[in-house]
Amino acid sequence: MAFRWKNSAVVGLLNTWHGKVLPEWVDYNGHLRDAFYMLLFSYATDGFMDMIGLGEPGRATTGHSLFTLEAHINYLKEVREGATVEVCTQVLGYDSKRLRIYHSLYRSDAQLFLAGNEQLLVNVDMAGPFSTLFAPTVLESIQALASQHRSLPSPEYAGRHIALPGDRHG
Amino acid sequence: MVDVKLADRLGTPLEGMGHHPWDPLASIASPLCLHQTLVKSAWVDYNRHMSESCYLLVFGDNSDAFFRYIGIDEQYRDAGERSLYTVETHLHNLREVSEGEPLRLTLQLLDADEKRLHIFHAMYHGVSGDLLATGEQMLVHVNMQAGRSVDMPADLFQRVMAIRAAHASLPVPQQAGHAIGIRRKVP
Repeated sequence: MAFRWKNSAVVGLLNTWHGKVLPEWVDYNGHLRDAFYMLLFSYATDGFMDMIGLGEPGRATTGHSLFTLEAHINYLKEVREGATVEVCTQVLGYDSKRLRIYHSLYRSDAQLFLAGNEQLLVNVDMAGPFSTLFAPTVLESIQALASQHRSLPSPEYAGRHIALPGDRHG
Repeated sequence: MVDVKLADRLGTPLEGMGHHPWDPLASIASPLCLHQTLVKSAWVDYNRHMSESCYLLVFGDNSDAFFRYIGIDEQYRDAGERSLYTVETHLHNLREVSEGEPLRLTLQLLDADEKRLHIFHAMYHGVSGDLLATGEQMLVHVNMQAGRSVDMPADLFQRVMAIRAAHASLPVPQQAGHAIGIRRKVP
């Protein structure tokens, strides 16, 4: 859970995934394809689940898992094959069965912000599946992280909707 | 000779297939129905449900079909160093879907200007017709060499505007224009 960067913008966040961009994730141009940004963010959600007691053992004990209801991605920079990248995660909010988190994808060497992803997750009982309250120990972990993250600035791209400037649907 | 790079990575189903010439007299479907597929074994998790990122992979294939419909293919890309880049995506996951099940995609053009396309993908179960997921995206027309957004050429923009006109009477989908948040019941 320790975070090793010196960049003040990300101190205190959880490091939920790191690795290299694989050849099968890039397009004809050698750039990470849209869908595979989402794959990295899904891996980061898995990493986050480990941290709140919903890794494989926790899922087996509770019979619960998390389902992504919504995901919003902002693509800021291209990412090349072979680049070493990592994801930092911030808890933005929660209630008794839902969780709103924000993943930021960085290039490890340059600490360059590549993409952001806001997710709304719901706790589900896999026996249904239907939504259900977080297990008490899971909720405690979420509360602890949320209170640590409360003083951090809200990510620049959180809470956005997609629109053209001055359009009719905004 | 096998192109190692091509063999390694996942292409789109239409890669290398060019585009059909635009027919200005043909009617434009509202929404467009350009792509269908079965859920592949490579797309599912240990539960045999399609994994989250693969919904976006399928929406990407739907975008590729749309690009070819409006005339953007490899030749367009290579000749002018221009392409459409996704700058923003918003996904709603509504229902799970399993390996082998049929998917039917629609695409609605919500808005556009000379440089940008605001599109909306809907993914339906091919048999039950259930809405499984939606994907709203903002795409920007870029000059890849210069690394900046540029206006679409006039003929391409004209096609986009024809689609925009055909789609103007479609209702705005419930999931469009949505910001993520935890909505609480007012006590």
